[in-house]
Amino acid sequence: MSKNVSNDKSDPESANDLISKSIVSLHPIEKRILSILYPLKEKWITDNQLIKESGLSIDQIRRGIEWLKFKNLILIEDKSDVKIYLKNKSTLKNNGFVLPERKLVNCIKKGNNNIADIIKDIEFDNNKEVFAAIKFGKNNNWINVENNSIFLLPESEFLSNEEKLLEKLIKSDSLLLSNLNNSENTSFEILKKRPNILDIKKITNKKYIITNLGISIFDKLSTDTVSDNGKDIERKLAVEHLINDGWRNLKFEQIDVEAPLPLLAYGKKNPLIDFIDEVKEILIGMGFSEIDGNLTQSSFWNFDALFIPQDHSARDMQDTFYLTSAKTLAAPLPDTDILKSVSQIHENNWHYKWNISESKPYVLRTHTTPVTIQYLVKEKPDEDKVFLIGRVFRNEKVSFKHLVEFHQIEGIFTSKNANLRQLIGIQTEFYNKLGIKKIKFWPTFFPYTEPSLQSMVYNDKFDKWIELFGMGIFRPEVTLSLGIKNPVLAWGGGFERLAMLRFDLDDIRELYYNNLSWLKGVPKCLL
Amino acid sequence: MPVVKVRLSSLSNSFPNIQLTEIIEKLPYIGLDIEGIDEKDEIVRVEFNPNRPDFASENGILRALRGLFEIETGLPIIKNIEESSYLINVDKTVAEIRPIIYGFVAKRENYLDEYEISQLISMQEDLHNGVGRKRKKASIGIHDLDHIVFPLEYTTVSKDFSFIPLDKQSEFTIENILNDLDTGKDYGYIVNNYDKFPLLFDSQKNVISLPPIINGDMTKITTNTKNLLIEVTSTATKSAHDILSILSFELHDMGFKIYYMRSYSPFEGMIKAPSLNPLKMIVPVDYINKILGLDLSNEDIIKYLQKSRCSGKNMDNDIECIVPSYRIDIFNPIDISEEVAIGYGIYRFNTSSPPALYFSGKKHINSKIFNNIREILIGLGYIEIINTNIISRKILDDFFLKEKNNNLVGIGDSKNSEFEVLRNSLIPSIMSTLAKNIHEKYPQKLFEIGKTFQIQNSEVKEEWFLGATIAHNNADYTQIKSVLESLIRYCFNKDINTPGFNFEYYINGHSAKILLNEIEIGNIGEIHPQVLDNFKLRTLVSAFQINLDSLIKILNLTKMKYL
Repeated sequence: MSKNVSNDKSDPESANDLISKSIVSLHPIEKRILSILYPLKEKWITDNQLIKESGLSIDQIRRGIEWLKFKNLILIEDKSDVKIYLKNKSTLKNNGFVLPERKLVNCIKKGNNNIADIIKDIEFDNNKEVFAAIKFGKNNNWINVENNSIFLLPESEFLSNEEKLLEKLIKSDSLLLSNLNNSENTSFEILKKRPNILDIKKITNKKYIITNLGISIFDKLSTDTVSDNGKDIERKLAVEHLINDGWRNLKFEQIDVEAPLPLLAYGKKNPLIDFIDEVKEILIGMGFSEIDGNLTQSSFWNFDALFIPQDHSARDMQDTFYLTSAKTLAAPLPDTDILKSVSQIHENNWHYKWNISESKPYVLRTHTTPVTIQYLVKEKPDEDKVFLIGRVFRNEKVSFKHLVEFHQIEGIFTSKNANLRQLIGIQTEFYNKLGIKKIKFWPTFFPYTEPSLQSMVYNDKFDKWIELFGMGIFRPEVTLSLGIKNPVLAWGGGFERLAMLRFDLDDIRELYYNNLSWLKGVPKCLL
Repeated sequence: MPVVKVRLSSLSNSFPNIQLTEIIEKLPYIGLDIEGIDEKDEIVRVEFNPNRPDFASENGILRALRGLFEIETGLPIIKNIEESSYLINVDKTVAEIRPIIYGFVAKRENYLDEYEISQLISMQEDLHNGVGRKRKKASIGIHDLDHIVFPLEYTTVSKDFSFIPLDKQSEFTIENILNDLDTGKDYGYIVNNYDKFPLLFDSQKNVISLPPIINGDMTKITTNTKNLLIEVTSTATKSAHDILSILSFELHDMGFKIYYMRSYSPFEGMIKAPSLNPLKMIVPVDYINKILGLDLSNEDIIKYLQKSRCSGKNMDNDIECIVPSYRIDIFNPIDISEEVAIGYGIYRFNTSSPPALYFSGKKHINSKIFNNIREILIGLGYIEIINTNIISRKILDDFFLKEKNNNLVGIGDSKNSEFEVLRNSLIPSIMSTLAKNIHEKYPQKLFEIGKTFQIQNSEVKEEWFLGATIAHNNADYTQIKSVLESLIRYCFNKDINTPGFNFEYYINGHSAKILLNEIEIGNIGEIHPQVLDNFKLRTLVSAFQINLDSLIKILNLTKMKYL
């Protein structure tokens, strides 16, 4: 129920601005409504009258009225209300309008206070009604339940508020919600929720009147139309007007050029793939070429070739996905020269018996380095800059910061004189191109690089240092046993870490959830 | 990475002239990660890398910091290791199981305190997990010397031998220990392949330890302990010496006097431990400067080595580098160069402008082709999604793709039930994406470019695929086929043939193979209602998938040229 009267007549100072602004954006429905209200001037018109006189549908009226009210061209008086009746087939009628809780009181007065007996009492239709009676009896403070018996309290001698309202309703047939007092209002809310008691009917009683601003605008509208040298007015240009030259004698209605419109469906690249492409472009600009390789690798290339001993915990099932199959499955191994030199370097340095059967199992690559290293073995470049951004796998429990599959970015630079200072230089340039200015480098450890560094970058948005990529120079144990002559500078790390910063995500899983609203909502251009 | 707790008071007491904040700021520059500072317990928790087990204690970290702050530089030395008659006799029956046992004795006037005991135990654990390869390669016993009568005997016993294990009141047989105690269950497998088990006795036949599983209770260290026996059993002599070396320096820094102990074994003869001879390596000065990109003088290099607690002798073009025996991570000249870099200070490296060489970077040919395909599909209104390569068996079952010919690649011991197999088709993943988006607006037009996996000739064959679906209440074969034809025409100016073929997951009579130049590259059809129902979709879906590797090969796209 509302009794609103909209804001009154508009601010005279800006009236002229408003007139010219409003007039350009009047919709035919608005014009139609104004044309009804205009001649009435100071007189209110009801909803029903307006519908009748305008010939518009209820829906059109509702929309038009909303727009006009928003523009302060009309005022609305809303005296809508709710009429309350007893339900036509109210179950109360059958028993003289006695509520179940009153029936219960009568029942107990007869000396019947055991619940089981009450349920059997002829007064009640079913046990549901008894339970309702007990609930409301308790609410009214009429009864006290002890074990399986019910006792009356003094309050039960008086009418409850609900009974009072019912009595009033029986007397006068119907009541208006706006006429109820507070306690009646509460009783109404309670009775409304109980089955088969009340019926309500909404009464709309709205009235409209044109404002001064509305009058001015309608005046202006009329003059404009009249002063138009007798030209016809059309809503929009039609093809036949163009073909038959009719447009020369036409004037076009001003349409609402400011109204917002629904967004269109569109096709789009995945935001993560898109960002990967942007980063690829940075690297290509720095002279790196992209390489690609398999996601499934032998343990040899994933571990052995990178100087990770066969008894090292990194190779445990807990961290690595080993592949299984109903058929026989054996990963291809390199030629015997390489196997021999790698096994020797393992045995000499790590003091254990290297076993070829530990090199054969297939794994899902835990890093991208097996691809890089195989590229170097195959191409044997004296100098090269290559990179890849590809999936890697870890057997971890998925959480907001861990995925089992994610992307790793890795780049290498090999040259006769490649050195640590250049590695720091390449990394700094790459970060700068991503927009990162504050960078720290610390020593760290990786099994296959030496010296090894990790980098921390300062993120302005989160105002904190974040660990990003690791880097180092491939150990001679790795390169020499694989026949790679020159030092190889390598750097890399998880790509999703960058993507979370880029897309402002707290939960890494969102990148792979494929929520269409999110996919469509991520702006294409970096802001 | 393992974590060690360092008391703030130890830091400020060791470096009274340096601000605590400055000390903490420098920790990363010796390779330590600060995990957090606990103000209440006045402790800084630092992570150390597994190659530096000497950092498993506060003393090891202080030793390195004293070098970095130039309070004490060069090689740390344990003066006067005492001679002694302590002896372990090794029985030949341990030969195959765990042949090596070395040890030493450490004595001090005052008793161990709680903090020292906890540091020793956590260091022991870190050594077990790292160098000891979870005790498989080497394990350590730290004992109260004063309950032990020499000489010791390292031999084997059968599984019904019993003794009182650490922290127990009653005797357990070895069999019970292996079956019932946690350490027995965790490490029993290491020695379980033999019918005999290694055991260390003293001369009174009291049990000192059952390596690598548990110690005897008799020699337990407490706050009433001031003299220690340290023993390491192992399968590799180097690992045993490495561990004893790290522990010697630790106990020396704790104020203990170290005593030699001898092991007499039928395999090696008489071995004296600990063996703390520093490693000597001759490294060319040029090598160090070249790999670091610096121009350091011989004197500078020696100075930085000393800051890293190594030392060096100037030999004109070379440096003879001397490395303390506990630095088990240093064994190659490249490791020396890192020590020089750390002594110099990583933070002092100014960046070198990238090498003045011409490199022309380019994208991989696949990336170019895939982006062209993306561009056409996006123009046709399609949204790109990405899914994981590992999927659940259920998704495959729901799509009727549970592999009948055993070519499916499985995943061993996954920690997540939704990651069980490598997908052999992209469409099931796209279907589950549709299922997740039933509340979004239709039509939904999706595509994915990803890999599929199957076993071929005992090897895993990985192939790039494109999958595309259209979903709405009137989706049908003609719509998706028109997308496919548009794609192939706009992208490659080719036509495809689609001879009808029935697939379990498409509606009979509404599906086909896709042929390009007479070669099969994929399939297309209206998804079967049972599949739609399995994915709880209440709208229709049509799909196609094509093998991009085949397409690239047929059209010879890798030879793509601009002119």
